[in-house]
Amino acid sequence: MKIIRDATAGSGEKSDCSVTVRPSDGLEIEITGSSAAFFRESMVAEIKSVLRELAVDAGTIEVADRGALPFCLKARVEAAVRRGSE
Amino acid sequence: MEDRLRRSRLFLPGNNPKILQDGGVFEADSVILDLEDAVSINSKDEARILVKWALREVDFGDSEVLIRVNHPETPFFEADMEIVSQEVDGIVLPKVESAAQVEEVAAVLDKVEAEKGIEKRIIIIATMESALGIMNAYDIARAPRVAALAFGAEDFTKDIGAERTPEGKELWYARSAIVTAAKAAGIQALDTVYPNVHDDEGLRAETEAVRRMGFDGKSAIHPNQIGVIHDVFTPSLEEIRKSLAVMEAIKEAEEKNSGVIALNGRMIDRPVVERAKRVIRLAEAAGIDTSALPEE
Repeated sequence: MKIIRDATAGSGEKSDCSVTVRPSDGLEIEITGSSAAFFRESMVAEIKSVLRELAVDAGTIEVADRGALPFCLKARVEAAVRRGSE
Repeated sequence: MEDRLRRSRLFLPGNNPKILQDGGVFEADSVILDLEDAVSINSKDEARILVKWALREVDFGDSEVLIRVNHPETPFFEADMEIVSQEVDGIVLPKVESAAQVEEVAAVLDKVEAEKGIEKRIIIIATMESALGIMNAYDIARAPRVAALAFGAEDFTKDIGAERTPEGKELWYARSAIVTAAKAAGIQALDTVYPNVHDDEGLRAETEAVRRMGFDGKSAIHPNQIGVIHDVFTPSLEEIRKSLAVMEAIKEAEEKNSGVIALNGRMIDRPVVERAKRVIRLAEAAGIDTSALPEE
């Protein structure tokens, strides 16, 4: 799957996150929000696992987190990627 | 016959992670991960993906896990069915109006189960929410995989041009039709939601009324409604004692190898036995130890 346009999924509600993807030559992951300081490493690993599943190897992935659990983070990444690559 | 208890069915909006992640803690008999009315048109895709991940990673406890998919005639239905997995116990089908509609969905489930190696038979709960659905209720109740008929009062009221009133007289024909059709087919009947989440007394009164009619459960749109619903579906001590006496009489008859079961000089027939079993299950589901009831 190739990210060909900017796309967003999720929300700024509590326990959710907002994920924006943008086309890019390399892979770049940016995480903001209260959890980022503590869980950045595991969040990056979760995001990468979804990207691997979707065969995405390039793009900018921006996550604004509001305390999303892993299932939600992964779902929002997948939704944003699918929206940005259709 | 599918006889899992379905006293309460809690709707969880499919695009709300905060509610989905807590879905297992409310102890509803069933949770419904809703992709239909609770999700706006623009969010159908992300809700579906969120529910897919919730099925993989959220612990829904002992609750039966149901997905309410969009109607088969919408462009969302096919993709909704693609997320069906081993974790799904059943599909809640909106606005069912014919047995043929159910048969089509059952055929999709045949395929999905085979392709994904799902080792269970996923059930269908058919929602009756139009005049035509009510008129075809018995055929729908007998269609493949249907374990219960459920009532959707909001859309039904609109469909027949009725006005929704607090006492709900406009709904009683449909409710009677649903209970009768479901029971004739040997499946469950589940009532609609009580829309006012702040009115516990109204919820209690309506739940009592539908329980007396023969409904097996009621839907909830807020976790706070579950306690009241379970309370109403908990049998009284007197009912439990009678049911235990019936079960005891059966045991005695079996021991004596007697073909006739009698209690206090009256013959007990099959519906009485089935009812007694159900009362005991309801009591046990409410945490009552039927082997240690308080003195009369």
